[in-house]
Amino acid sequence: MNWITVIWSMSAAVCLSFAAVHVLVALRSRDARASLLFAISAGAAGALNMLELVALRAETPAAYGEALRWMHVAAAVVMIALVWFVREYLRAGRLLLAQAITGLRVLVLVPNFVGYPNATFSEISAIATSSLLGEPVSVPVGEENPWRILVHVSMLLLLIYVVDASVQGWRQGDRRRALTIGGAIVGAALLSVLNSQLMVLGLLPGPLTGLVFLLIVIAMGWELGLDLIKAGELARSLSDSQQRVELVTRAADMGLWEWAVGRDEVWVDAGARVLAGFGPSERVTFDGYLQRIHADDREALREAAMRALHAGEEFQQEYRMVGPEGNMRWIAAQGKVVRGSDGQPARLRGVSMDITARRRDELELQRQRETLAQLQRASAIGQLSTVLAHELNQPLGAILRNAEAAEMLLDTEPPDLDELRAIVADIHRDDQRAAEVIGRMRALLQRRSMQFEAVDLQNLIAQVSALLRAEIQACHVTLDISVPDDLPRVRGDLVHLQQVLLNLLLNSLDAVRDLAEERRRLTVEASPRGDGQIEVVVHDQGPGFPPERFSSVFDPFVSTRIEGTGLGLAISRTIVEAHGGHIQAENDPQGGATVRFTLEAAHDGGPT
Amino acid sequence: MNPLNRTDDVPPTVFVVDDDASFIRSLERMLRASGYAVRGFTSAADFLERRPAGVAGCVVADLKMPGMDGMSLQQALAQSDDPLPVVFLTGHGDIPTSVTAMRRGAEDFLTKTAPRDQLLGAIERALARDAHERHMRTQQRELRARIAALTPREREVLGHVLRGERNKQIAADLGIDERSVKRHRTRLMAKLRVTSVAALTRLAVEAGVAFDGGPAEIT
Repeated sequence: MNWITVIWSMSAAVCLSFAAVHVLVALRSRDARASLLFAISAGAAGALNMLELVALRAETPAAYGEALRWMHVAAAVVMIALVWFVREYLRAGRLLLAQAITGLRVLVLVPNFVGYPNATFSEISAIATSSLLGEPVSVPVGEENPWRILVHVSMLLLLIYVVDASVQGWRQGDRRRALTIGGAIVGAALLSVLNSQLMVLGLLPGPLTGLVFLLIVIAMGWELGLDLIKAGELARSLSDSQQRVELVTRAADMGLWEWAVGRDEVWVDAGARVLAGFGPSERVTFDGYLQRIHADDREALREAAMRALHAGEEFQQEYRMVGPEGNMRWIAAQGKVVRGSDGQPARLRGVSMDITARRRDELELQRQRETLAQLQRASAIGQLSTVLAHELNQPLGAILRNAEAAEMLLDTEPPDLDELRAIVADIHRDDQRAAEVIGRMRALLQRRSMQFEAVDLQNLIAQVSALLRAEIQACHVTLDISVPDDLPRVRGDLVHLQQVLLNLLLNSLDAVRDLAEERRRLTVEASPRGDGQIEVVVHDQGPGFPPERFSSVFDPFVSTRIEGTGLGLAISRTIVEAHGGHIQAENDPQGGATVRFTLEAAHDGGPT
Repeated sequence: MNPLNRTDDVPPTVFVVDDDASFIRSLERMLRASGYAVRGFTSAADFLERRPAGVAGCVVADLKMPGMDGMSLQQALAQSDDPLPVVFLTGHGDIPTSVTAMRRGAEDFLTKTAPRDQLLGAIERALARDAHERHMRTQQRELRARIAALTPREREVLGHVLRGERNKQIAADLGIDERSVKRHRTRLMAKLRVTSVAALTRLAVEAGVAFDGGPAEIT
């Protein structure tokens, strides 16, 4: 054994080891093209070292020439792989230069195999013996091949290409990579220039190409090694954060999902699988998922997903899911479109949450609100009961008296048929009046959920003032109504809005009941506000709200009246806010109270 | 001519006062078929303004009416010089109002859907009461007219007689002789058309005059 053999063999071994490692990496991961190119480059560098060792040991010109010929092949492979590695790894470098270098190195192989011993010498006449590290090595003596200029040109292009790519990589932010790879290649190129200068001066027996390439391989291997370490760390932290996400999603009863649109495959995490009732390894497609959705919500969900994909916007939908045992659950899903490399929506990714409990609470709350509203309505009606009984007994009394009169008329001979006809007509009319009173009361007392429709305020105000008419008369109150004829209709529930107005007018009636007659005056006004809202104002000239309770008049059970339940204004506010409006109370400087509330104009918009 | 004398040729009338025209019509029909003279008015003010003077009868009024309500009507009638009993009809009887109404002398207080017998009974009672009160008022007026025809001295003597004093005592009190007392006494009994002290006392009570405080009060 001597040093030359040891060094060159080790150099080759290092290169081949790198190559072997990265071949494995490249085989494992389809995306690691940089590793593959590096493995090729390192493998070729290993071969180059071995061939150089053979050349240094060559005893005849022919043997040397043969070794050198194959060294050109290895060098070409190293260079070409290196050029494309740089493009792949730094994501930089000019394509034209890369192609030119590749072309030149392939072109060099033509004179290498046709007519000459190799691309360096046109003829090797003899082998001289020189000394390196105290060992004898072979040095070729011969004529230079004129084609050798191509090798120099390719080296020059490589230098330009690598410097340019490094600068570009540096600018893109991959500073360390650009510095290591670019520095190593430029350093190696300069070293090879230095080596050939030393060779020309007779201080070195040859260019020692294998060792120069070893330098590049080590630099590249170092970088890729760092990447592998980093990938390992990433994998660890990824699994950590995955565990954290899982913890959070479990705790919040959420599931994660991702729908790859192209493959139509839905990835769902364990939580989402449980939510949807899928087995742990069952393959999930979008249609398969839709099958678990309540039939009434299915199309809406599909449309929402498609809309999100087409518009590239956020996806948000609440729907019912039917479990394997037929149990129904409410799910809220929220997601985002992820675009592929071509800019087209490729995935829909998001979370879903079981909101069954929340929904149940909401429904319960809604039901309670409606019950409360109904109770309050009943109490408001109760306050009116005297008046309503009066209104009912009026037509009923008339019917009774008419019937009695008719009975007596029938006993006379001959009966007065004209009078009897008039009686029957009156009975008809009074019966209708009684039915209308009952109808108005029943409409208010009926328990029902809110049904939004276009409501004509003029009509509504007329209906409520009809309900209150007798009470208003009995208290000798004047009610002024001011509603423009072209007022747009509002979006609302007729009965609930009647209740709001009834509550406000009952309060106002109470406020003015004991005042001097000229101040017993109420006004109801409705007018458009210009921002698509309609404002309704109820005003009285009573004493106003007590200042100390002013801030709480809309709170439940706060009453300024002796027999008030304290619910009228609270429920009025609930109803107005459920209509998307606001309600507020004011005391007027010159005395009196004003309550105003807003309602949204109906979408059909047209005046009534 | 005394307007009250016109009552003779008009039958007792039931005046129906209600703001509901249809109800008035039905009640008019029923009462007419039952044999009553009926007149309807759609408001209390209208009735007070246009009621025929001195006609006997009664009022059937709605308690709740716009403008003047039933209670105010009753008050106005009671204060007039030609009062009429009132039967109240209401849509819905509430106790405090009915108590007040009865205390103020309402004949009855019924709901609008009360049975016919009840309603006719109340009207009958009201008419009887009106007839009675009318008779009392006529008699009272006549007695007062007779008392007004006495001379001042006769009135003085009357006062003492009603107090139960004897002629001798009266003569002493008035400073006149006993025969003069007897003469005044005979004359006043003739003017008042009574023959005994008992009848004289009853007349004084019916005429609504008291003689406790002395002779001046008989005027």
